[in-house]
Amino acid sequence: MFKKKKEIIVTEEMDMNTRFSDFLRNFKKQKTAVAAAFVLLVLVVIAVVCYKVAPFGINEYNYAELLQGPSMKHWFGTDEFGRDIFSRVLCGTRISLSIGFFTVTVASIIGSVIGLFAGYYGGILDGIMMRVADVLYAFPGLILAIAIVAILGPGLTNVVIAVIIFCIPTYARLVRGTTMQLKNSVYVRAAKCIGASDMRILFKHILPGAIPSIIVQYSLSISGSIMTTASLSFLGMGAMAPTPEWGLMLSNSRTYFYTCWHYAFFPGMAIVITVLCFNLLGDGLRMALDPKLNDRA
Amino acid sequence: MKKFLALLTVCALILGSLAGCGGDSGTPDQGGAGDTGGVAANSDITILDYAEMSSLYPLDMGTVSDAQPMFWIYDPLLRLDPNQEYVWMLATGCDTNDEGTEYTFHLREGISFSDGTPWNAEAAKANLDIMADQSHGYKSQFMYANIDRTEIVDEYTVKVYLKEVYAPFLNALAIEPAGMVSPKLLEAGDEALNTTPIGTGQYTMKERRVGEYCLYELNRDWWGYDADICGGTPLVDADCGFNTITLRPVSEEATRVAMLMSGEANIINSLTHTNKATVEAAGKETLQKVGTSMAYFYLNCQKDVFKDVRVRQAISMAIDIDALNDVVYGGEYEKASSFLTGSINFYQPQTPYEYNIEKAKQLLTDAGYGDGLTLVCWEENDTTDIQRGEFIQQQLEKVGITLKIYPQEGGFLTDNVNAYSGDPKDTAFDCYIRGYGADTADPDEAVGRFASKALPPMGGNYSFYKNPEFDKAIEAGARSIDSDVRAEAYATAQKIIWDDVPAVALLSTCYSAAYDSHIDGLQFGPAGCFNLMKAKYVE
Repeated sequence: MFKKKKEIIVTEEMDMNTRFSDFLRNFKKQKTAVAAAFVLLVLVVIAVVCYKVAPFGINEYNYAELLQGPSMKHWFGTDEFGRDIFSRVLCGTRISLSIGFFTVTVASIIGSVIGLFAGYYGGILDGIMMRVADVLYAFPGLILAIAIVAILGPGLTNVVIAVIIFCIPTYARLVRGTTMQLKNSVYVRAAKCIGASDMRILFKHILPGAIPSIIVQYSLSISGSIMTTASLSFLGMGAMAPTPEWGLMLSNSRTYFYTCWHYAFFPGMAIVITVLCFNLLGDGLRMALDPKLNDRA
Repeated sequence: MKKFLALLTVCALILGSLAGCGGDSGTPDQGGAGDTGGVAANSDITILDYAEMSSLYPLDMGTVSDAQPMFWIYDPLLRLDPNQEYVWMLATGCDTNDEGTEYTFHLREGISFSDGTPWNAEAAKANLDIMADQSHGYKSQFMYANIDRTEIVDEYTVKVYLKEVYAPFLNALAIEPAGMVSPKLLEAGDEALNTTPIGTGQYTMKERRVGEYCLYELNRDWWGYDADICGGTPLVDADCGFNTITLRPVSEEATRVAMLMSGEANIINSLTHTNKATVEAAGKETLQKVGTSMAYFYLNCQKDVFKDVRVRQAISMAIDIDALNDVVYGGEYEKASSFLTGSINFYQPQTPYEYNIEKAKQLLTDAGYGDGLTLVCWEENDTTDIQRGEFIQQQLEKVGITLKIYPQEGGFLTDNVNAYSGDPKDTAFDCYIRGYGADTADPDEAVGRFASKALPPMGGNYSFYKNPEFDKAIEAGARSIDSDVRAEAYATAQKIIWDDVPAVALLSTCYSAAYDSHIDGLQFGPAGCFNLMKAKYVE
């Protein structure tokens, strides 16, 4: 009996390995996604080392060099207090990426658990959770985030909470759908027959089936989360001065639209590149994982 | 075929949206093009202010944006001209007794409110009675706490008795909060006062959508055009005025500038030096006026941290005000050398606090805050105000003070700073940065606002400063009509408050605006709102 169980595990692991190599092969075919992944890797490295490599301090102001255009000394020019925009954009990477990853990680974990339970047990639990998700879904993401921040008060911490809350229903629904599909599949029924506990079935047999779609959604949500954080900061509800947050920098640059193009351009480009890369990566991942999803069905 | 249809749809959509852009979409109905008088019938102009007004009732005025419509809709008994001389409006003159406790006003005859109610002694008494009754608690009411009672002498004469001598009484009647409201409206209550203003002014309010726009229409029967009522020569020429004025709150300066450049707006309020060149290069005019207003960095003296004068002095020494002027205002403002601006009577320059970080740090250490300090600061969300706040934040960082700044929309901010439980210790803010004008151009307002009689919401003492000695000096200044006595009292008051630093007096501010070539004769009123009495439209 003991021996047999071990065998099953071995086959599962082998199965995982082949699945992963399948995925890698499929993913490599997506050239843009690979490029996006590479750029994101660079951004992650920047986020880690930014404070070490930035040529100037983020709050190192110099009142003698206000609003200067790009030059050898200041690659991206300077802002209204003579701070180096290049350094600030660089250090802003850490804020945006960490908020992006953190919010979506937390939201995907909470959302997936909710979705698993709702989909597996059904009944009242499912009804309540999905109606709550429907209510949250009824508001456009940014509006919901603004409402939450308006209640909690401005500040990055509250933005993080707001983004987590509005990301949760997406995952809950996604995972619930897959769970409902898989709970009637032969192998889940088989697992039930041999007496596997509900928890084991949920996390060992059903969750892995939902992981591909979670991964795709994860990448897409990060771009949404970064955008929302920047938007809220732009509206004065997110990061507080003097945080080098991209949205806040864009917001401060508005007055100088006519005189200093560089001030708005570089933080804006930073947002565009990051968000675009996450979206491209998400698309690539979906393409690479899709055949698998089809196999399951 | 499908592709062709799709192309056709796209073309139709593009054309549709272009047509939408071309029209006056979003602008309110600008009707009522009459042909009486000399005002050009097509002179419908748009003015952009930086904040929404929080009240439409003169006595409840809190900010310059509040004063703006009041200047147009309501006339007070008299006004101050740019040289701070009296211009008689709804009154033609006034007699005073020797002690300065009784004022007899001779009212102008032949004027009526826009609802048809005649302007007479009864109307004047109705207004003055409400101003005197402090139980209402309107924001600007404390200025009239000295009125004891008003008597009707005859149909066009009223006599006002003061409780005690109050030197700036006439100046206090010359400002926007003293605008005369139709007695019928006063009876109708607060709700009506805030929605349907009725005055005797040059304009009437036609339509308002909070947060979007407010439409004003020229009152063609305004008495200022009538030579008979004005006693020979009319107050303004027949071609002065605009058919309609659309006033919009646009808090974003770049948007205001863009709207002026595109011709969407004719006049924009508040312009920073960085955009001045851009606007001028585009062929627009700019207007600048040294005002009576001063920007303060209020420190709530009732909070434990600010009870110690050393902390307040340290903050005063840690802010390089000259650099603030250069960085944020292009050097166009003037560094404060007292708690009131140089243009106000009895101004006495004080010894400036030197900018000294080391000394400031030492003072903070002595006071027990050597390890640093975090303060919550409120300010308005106007672009330059945010910059000013950020600059102060940078300066205070150097002495270990972390400033957490929360910018808020102007009207909202006014309501918020006035809303506290009653115990000044409970205010949600530790500091507050904002500029306040002294419309009366009198020190009783300019520095008297720090007296304990002017605690919010009744007045503007946002430092919650309570100093009996200072209060005494302010009282002495207000209670005498002898200018030597006043000068001495205000010299003392300025000295006390300068040494005590309940707020850091930053800069005396400049009003600035830009307008296009269709506007002629634009002026700033004393409070910083647009005086359009003699402005006209040129082709």
